[in-house]
This record gives sequence, C-alpha cells and structure tokens, in this order.
Amino acid sequence: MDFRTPDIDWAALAPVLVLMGTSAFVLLVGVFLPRGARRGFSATFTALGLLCAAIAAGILFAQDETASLTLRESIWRDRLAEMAQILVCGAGLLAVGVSYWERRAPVDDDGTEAPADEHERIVELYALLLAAVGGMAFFVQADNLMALFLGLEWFSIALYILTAISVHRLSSLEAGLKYLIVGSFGSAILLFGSAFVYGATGALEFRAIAEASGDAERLFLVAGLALILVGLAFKMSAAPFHMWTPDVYQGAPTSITAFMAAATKVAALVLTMRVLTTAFPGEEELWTWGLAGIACVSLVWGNLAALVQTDVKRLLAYSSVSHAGFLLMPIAAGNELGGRALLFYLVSYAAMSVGSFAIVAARERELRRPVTLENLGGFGWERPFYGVTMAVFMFGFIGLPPAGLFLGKFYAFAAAYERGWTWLVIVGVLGTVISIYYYLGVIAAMYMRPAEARVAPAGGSPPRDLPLATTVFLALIVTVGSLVAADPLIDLMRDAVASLTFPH
Amino acid sequence: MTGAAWTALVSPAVAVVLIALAGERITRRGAGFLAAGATLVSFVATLVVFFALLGRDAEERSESSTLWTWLSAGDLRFGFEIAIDPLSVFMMLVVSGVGFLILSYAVGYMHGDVEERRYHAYKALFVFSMLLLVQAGNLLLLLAGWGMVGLSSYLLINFWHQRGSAVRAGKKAFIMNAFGDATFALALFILIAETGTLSFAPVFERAPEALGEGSTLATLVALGLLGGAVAKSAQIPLHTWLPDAMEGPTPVSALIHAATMVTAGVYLIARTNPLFELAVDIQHLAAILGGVTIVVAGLIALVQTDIKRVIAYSTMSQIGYMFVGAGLGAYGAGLFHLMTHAFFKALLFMAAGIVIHALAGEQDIRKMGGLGRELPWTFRFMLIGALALAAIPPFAGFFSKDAVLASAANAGKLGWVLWGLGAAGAFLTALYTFRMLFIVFGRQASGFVREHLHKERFEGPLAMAWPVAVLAVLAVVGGLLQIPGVWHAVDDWIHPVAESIEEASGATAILSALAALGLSLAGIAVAWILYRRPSRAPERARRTAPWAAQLLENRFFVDEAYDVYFYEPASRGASFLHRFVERPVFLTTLGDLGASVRGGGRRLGTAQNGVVRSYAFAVAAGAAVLLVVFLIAS
Repeated sequence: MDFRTPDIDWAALAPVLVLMGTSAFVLLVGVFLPRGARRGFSATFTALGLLCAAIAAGILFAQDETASLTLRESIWRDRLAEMAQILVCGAGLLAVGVSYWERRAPVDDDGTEAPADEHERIVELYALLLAAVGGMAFFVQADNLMALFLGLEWFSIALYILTAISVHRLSSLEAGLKYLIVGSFGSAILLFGSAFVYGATGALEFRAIAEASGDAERLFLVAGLALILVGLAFKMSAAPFHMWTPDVYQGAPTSITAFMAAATKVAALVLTMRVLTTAFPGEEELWTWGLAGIACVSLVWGNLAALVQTDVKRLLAYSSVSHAGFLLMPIAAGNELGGRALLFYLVSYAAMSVGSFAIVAARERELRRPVTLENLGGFGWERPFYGVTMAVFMFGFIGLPPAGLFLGKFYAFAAAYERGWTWLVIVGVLGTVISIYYYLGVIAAMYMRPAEARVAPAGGSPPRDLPLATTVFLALIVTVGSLVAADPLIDLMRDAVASLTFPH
Repeated sequence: MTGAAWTALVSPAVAVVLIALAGERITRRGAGFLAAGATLVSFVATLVVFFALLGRDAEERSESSTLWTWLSAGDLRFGFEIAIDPLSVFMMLVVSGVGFLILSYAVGYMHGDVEERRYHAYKALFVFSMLLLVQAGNLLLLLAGWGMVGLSSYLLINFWHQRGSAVRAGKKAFIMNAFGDATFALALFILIAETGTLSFAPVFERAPEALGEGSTLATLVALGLLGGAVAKSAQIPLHTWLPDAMEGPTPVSALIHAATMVTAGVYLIARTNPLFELAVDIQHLAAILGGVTIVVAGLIALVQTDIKRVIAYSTMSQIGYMFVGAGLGAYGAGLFHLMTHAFFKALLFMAAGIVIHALAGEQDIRKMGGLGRELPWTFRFMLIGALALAAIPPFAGFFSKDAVLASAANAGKLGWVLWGLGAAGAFLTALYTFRMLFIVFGRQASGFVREHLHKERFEGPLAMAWPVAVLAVLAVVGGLLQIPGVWHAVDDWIHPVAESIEEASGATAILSALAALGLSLAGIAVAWILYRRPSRAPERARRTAPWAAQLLENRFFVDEAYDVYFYEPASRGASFLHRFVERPVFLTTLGDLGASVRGGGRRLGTAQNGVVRSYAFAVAAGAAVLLVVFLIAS
C-alpha cells in the first residue's frame, strides 16, 4: 500500500507547535513536581514558550516577503498572521506576569473565606494559557471555514476553563458557566453561517468561496455571511453581541481578564479582516456597511454603559466594547490604510488593556476585594508608579498622547474618512467625547478623593510583586514606544497587510 | 561630534528625571549639584562640538542629525532632528555656559528653601528646553522647545506659589507667551501648506518659490514668526510680562529673563532669516519695534524702585538693540550683543541677588544705601556689570553695542533713525544703571540696611560668589571677540547660516562709537549729579512735569490699556456669554443632555440583568436584524 504523507511546511506551523508543545510539557511535567516548585517551573516555561513562539513568528515575518498557502489550503503563511501571532504571544507573556502572584492574595467578593493556596491549579492555569494562545495563533492563520471554527473553539474552550479557574469564588464559576453557554451559542451561529456559505458555494477555502460566489445561491451566501459576522463580532465583544463581556471580565481572575481583553480582540479582529477581504470581496457593500453599523452600536452602547459603572473591571469591560467599535471602523473602511490602522491600533490597545487590568490586579491584591471607583481612592498617591501609569493608560484609551493609541485612533478615523464616511468619524468622535467622562473618572478616583475617603489596605501593604510591576512597566513601554516609534511601526504594518487585497 | 551634540541636549533632561525619581533619597543640595553638573556636561559636550566645527572649513560646518523620524507623510517628516551648525553651537555655548554658572549660583541662593529639589528640577528642565530650542533641526521641534521654554519659565516664575503676586506674574507671562506661540504656530501652518516641509534647509530653499518675495503669504509667515519672537523677547507691545516675572527667584531672573529665554526671539530671527528676507518690511518692523523698546524701556527704568525691575527693564531695552541688529540684517552684531549681554546681565542679576540675599529679601532700592562699604566685592562686580551695560570701553557691552550701532549707521535712512534711538538709549542706559548703582552702593547706609544687613564670610555663600566672579571676568573681556573695523569673529562664525550686512567703516564708524560713548558718559555724569547723594532734583523734576512722572511710573499705561481694551471687553463678553449662553445652553440644556446620557447608560445597564437567556436573546436578536438587513440590502 502506498502511503503518502502530505507535504507540510513545518516552519509555518512553528509558533503553534511551540505553544502546544510547551503546553503539553508544562502540564505533563508540572504534575510530577513538588507543589512548591510548580509555580516557578510552569511560569518560567510558559514565558519561554511564548517568547520562542513570538520569536519564531518574528523570524517568519522577516522571511516572508509574499504570502503562501500551506497545509492543503487551510492554513496561511503570511505576515498578517505572523504579526497577529506576535501580538497574541506578547499579550500572553504579559499575562504570565500578572498571574504569577495572583493566588497569594485571593480576592474575596462574596464573603466566603478564600483559601490562600498559592499552588492550587497553577500548572493547569499556565498550560491552558498556552493552549489558548496556541489556539489563537492557529486561528489567525486560518484559510478555510473549518480551520476558522476549529481555531475559534480551541482558544474559546481554553478561555471558558480559565475564566472559571478560581473555583473558590462563585462569581468566577458563574462567569465561566455563562461564558460557556453564551459562547457556545455564538459558536453555533458561526458554524451555522459557515454551513450556509458552504451550501451556497460548495467551498470552504476563503478564495474558493470568493471565486464561487458569483454563481452561488445569493440568499444562502448572504445569510451565511451575516451569521459568520455575528459569530466573529461575538468574540470581539462588539455590541449587541457583547453581553457576556462585563460579567466574564468581572468574574474571571484579573490576569485572565487582562489576557482575554487583549488577545481575543487581536485574534478576532485580524481574522475578521482576513475572512471578509479574502472570502467575501464581492459582498463588500454588505459587510462594510454591516460592520459600520455594528461599530456605531458598539460605540454608543459601550460608552453609555461604561458611564454608570462603579466596578473598575466592568468599566474596563465596557470600554473594551466601545473599542471594538473603534477597531471595527478601519475594517469597515475596507481600505489598505484601514488595515494598517487596525494593526497599529491593536499594538498599543493590547498593551494598555493588559496594563490597566494588571494595575487593577495590583489594587485588588492590596484590598483583597473587587476594585471599585470608591476604593480606588488615594491609590495614585500611595502607588505613584501604578497611578501615573494608569493615568497614561486612561489618557491613551481616550486617544491622547503619550500613548500610541493617539495615532492609532487618528489612523482609524483617517481610514474611515478616506472611504468618504465622515459620519462614521463623527460618531467615533462623539463616542470619544463620552468616553472622556469615565476614563477621567478613574484618574479622579485615584487622585482626587479626600484623604478620609481613602481605604487603607487590609493587613498592611502587600509583599512586593515584581512580576506584576515588570508587566506594567513593559506595557507602559509598548504603549509609549508605539507613539515614539510610530513611523517604523506603521511601515511594518504596511508589510503585514500586504497580502490582503482591500476592496477600496 | 553628533554624539556630543546629543549628549549636550539630553544631559539636563536626564538630570530632571533623576531628581524627580530620586525624591528624598538625595539631599536638596545634591539635587542642585546634579542639575548644575548636568549643565556642565552639556557645556563640555558643546565645547567638543565647537572645536570639532572649528577644525572644518567654514562651508562644511553645518550638518543635521536625526535620532528617529516620528512620522512621515510625503515630504513632511516629523523627526527628532538636531542641527549642528555655527548658529546653534553659538547659542549652545551661551546657554550651557552661562546656564552652568547660574545653576551653580542657585545652589547657594536657594539653599534652605523648602522645595529646593523642585526648583533644581525645573531649572534643569529649563536648560533642556532652551537647548532643544536652539538645537532643533526643524521648525516643529523648535516650536516644541519654544513652548517648553515658556512652560518652564512659567513654573519657575511662580515657584513661590504661596505668593499671590508670583502666581499672577506666572500666569501673565504664560498667556503673553502663548500668544506668541500661537502666531508662531500659524506661520508654521502656512509653511507646511506652501512648502510641504518644516526642516530648515528645504524650507529655506523652497520658500522663495513657494511663498514669493514680498508676497502676502511671505509677509504673514514673517509676521507670525515675529509675533513669537516679540512675545518671547518681551519687546513692545508684548513686553509687560517681563517686569512682573521678577517675582521668581533671582537666579531664575538671571538665567531665563536675562541671559537665555528672552533672547530666543533674536535667535529665531537669525535662524529664519531667509524667511524674513522674503518680507523685508516685517524684518524692518522687528528693528523698529526693537528701537522703540530701547527708548521706552529705558525711560521706564528711570523711575523703577525695585532693584530687579530696573534690571528687567534694562534687559528689554538691551534686547531692543539685538532686535535692531537682527532686523536690519546685522545678525552677527545682534548675536554678539546677545552673548555679551548674557554675561553682564547675568552678572548684574546675580550681584543684585547677593544684595537681596544680604538684606533678607528686600528689593526696594529706596531702603538701600551705603552698601559699597559693607559689600565691597559685590560692589565691584556690580560696577563691572554696570560699566559693561552702559557700554564703557573696554567692557564687553561697548563693543557689541557699538557693532549694532555701526551696522545701523550703514543701513540707509531707517538705519539712521534706529541709530538715533539706539544712541538715546545709550544715554538712558547709563543714567538708570548708575542711578541704581549710586542709590544702592553709594550714599550713607540707611537705617534699614544697618538693621537688616547680615553678612557672611564672602558677602554670600561661596557657591554664589565664584560664578559671579567668573561672569565679571567675562563681562570685562568678552567684548574683545569682535571689534568693529578690526576683526569680526562672530560675523565670520555664523556667516554660513546667516550672512550679516556690512557695517559702517572708517570715519562713520568712529564717529558713531564716539557719539554713543559720549552719550553714555553723559548719562553717568547726570546720574552722578542727581543721585550721588539724596537730593531734591528728582522731586523737582517730578513737580515740573507731573504728567511725565505719571506716564513713566505707570509704564506708559500699557498694562492699563490692555486691561481696558482686551481684558475688560473679554471679561464683559465672558460674563455676557455666561449669563446668556452658558447658563441657558450649557448648564441646563447640555447638563440635561449629560444627565439623559447617563440615564441612557443606566437603562442599558438594566438590559444587563445577569440572566443568560437574555444575553442569548440579544445575540439572536442582533443576528436576526443583521440577517434581515443583509437579505433586504442584497
């Protein structure tokens, strides 16, 4: 019998393989180690694995002048995927720093005495984190609807478990369960849409769909496109498909929230741009307008709802919804400038997301309570570094220097403007105006509470948390650095989107 | 060499960061030494650059170095780019050299102040801003330095923030400077629109074609730049902030409001001379404003009673000379005067600082007297400064002022008018300078002095004394760098960047110098007669011409005029808008709008009820809407 192995470009899969390999290694070896050694072991190897994967993606990025298909028309090897992999791995790397001492001072939000077991499920946490990053790295390479769905489920399931991993907290369990149910619903819609598209075109591969869409059954194709959009919008938490976001962000351990907020957005948005531009160029009128609509709803809903939040993690969750709106604007613009803008925006956005949740985690560990605007009082004076950095992040989310998002937002608006959609720019600016209120509210809470309203940390100041501080510092460097090094970064992003063809 | 130039720029910034981060881990004095040391590093690095340039041919002395390009759009590149050329190195030498002396002096002067560290950090920030201003390789970065200089000046003027007058003075300086910043920025917008770039060389290259000589656009650009220069250099009509700025600590006055920042306007005109030469009328306007300022400031200085304000008005007046030089195209003469002025004016301020220090903060010259015997060294320093200011040979001011006047004498009819103003200014300068000197150091020791004088071993801390001595030496010999008709070191040095006009030679030059010298001596003589000992002559003069006294003592009513013509209409307009627009529209309508926005947020919050089925419903409903819209649209 003649057995022919498929011709596989292993290099293209290197980041994913490194991540999955490390995940398996951490999980298998970690359980045999004495409890005391598990944290250091698993965190070190997780960080190393993420770093290696990012480096591998970077090397591929440097090599790949042109895009190529690999692995039987289901996986892309191109700079877009590699750039997204670098970003996702970076977010994962920062999340390792946030999670390192998370168990030392567990948050206690429902009156139950939380056991401070530093080593509980630490190996699982890191193995799942690696699996989630691996899933995302696979997801952003997807070139057919099956790979897309596989990648989506791969990282989603890892995230469902991670959300619920603080089993001693009811809110964490509840969030995990909600995420699982609603997430499955979203995945089902995506799968349903994929089935429609397959039914209409008989193809799964993106470019094959584009080719076949000419004489496809219009009804099914369009319905499929709409449902796929919904499934992806769900993952990037764009309104009105975002309802899980506040609950999950609030309930999940803060390190996992930090990771989700940054990495899921990167993966979902990059893939959305890829699938729409490659598989549905003929339907661009539909999806550009559709995305613009979703962007508007997200901007309005996210910003309005954020205004009235008192829990900081919920507030940041709604801010993430509104940023889904901002991030959809460049994709909706459907031009090359938009592609660049999206990636450039994501760099500083991802860093700021992880960074701001990391600072929330720092406060959480002092108080051992969920952080609200109320008990953030005086934080800026007590912890000057965290305070100033948080202020930089908040100004950055508004779109002000010294954060790179300042230019990211500018480019996003510029892309919409180039498309001729001044109205979308106006909506974006109005959204920004509303957002100023709650972002400055965080700064005001940190700095402008009178002394007596400040909450003293329970049980004295917490022990030094070097990994967390390093994470915040790195996030700050990336945030500010993306403004300083704007020009080379934008050139890099131009290379990254070179493999896509934009309709406008 | 480029490395040295970057070191010079970055070193004070590093000091700022270190002082800010170190907090109480370093002593207050340590912060001062750190700031001064960083400036010394700048100075040494500048010397390295200077000698490197000196070793080259004159035409090869200009280069630029870009650390990184921040953004580029077509030809318009925003980069962190510095220019290394004779003009910037000249300014760097003045800024870092005099800056180092003053920062060292400040270590002694500010000793014991509660917020000393903040002071030294601001001071180093100022030096960094000023170096950024003079080293900037494109107009955008120059504007950044321009604005930062204004900011650090603001921070330092109201350093003693418990004093209401200091805070007001800081605000005033900031607002007037902001006005200049705005016109400067507007000029840059025109340049971007017309030439598509802001880097020096390409702008100057393209400007003649893009703007056109003498065109409206060229005039507007020059006018905008001039607005910036006039505001920063406290020339008429944007001069009123400078005397008030004396509320800051004395070393601040010496550094910012005498030696460096206020001369930035002259630098700007010299730097952008190709643009000004496209609009000669505006350049002449600069010279005329300078000429008027010489005389007006000189007159006002005659009646000032605050020792620092006298010097402040003399600064305005001396910058007037620099404007005359730069405005007539005698860039070398203007910059030469800038340099010698930095020496002797810093010297005067710092000597005055010793006096103020010795009298426990008193600045009113009417309460002083007889200090010459008590503070003999300070008196000598002050005398050197005064002689240099009054342009008596061989002190530095003589040569530089003479260079300006000699250039004016060779610049046609307008030049002669300005020469006249300058000569009148020479008389006034000598008169008010020596009035101050005789009142403070001559006469009998007043009761106030006998009561309050406390002397230390060197008439002040050593840290204060030695920089003053160094400046005194420079004020004596600094003028020998350029002697009209003999050699032109400064002209030749900056020649590749800004070509100066020929100055008068031969008999005209000698006559011009003699006439100015004669007027200066006359001024000193008059001061001797009137102010050597308390006399009634000034009082009699006041009675014969009360209107003149009024006019001078109220500083030509410029502040009042600004109040009447700008402040009051603006404030009336503001209260009108407050009553009829803000309250009905913003506070109620927009307030309601804000409340309803928050209400909307709350209502959206109720949709978020925590029940999974409603979340699934929202997803399904959204999907249904999208589906229907898509199907209808296709």
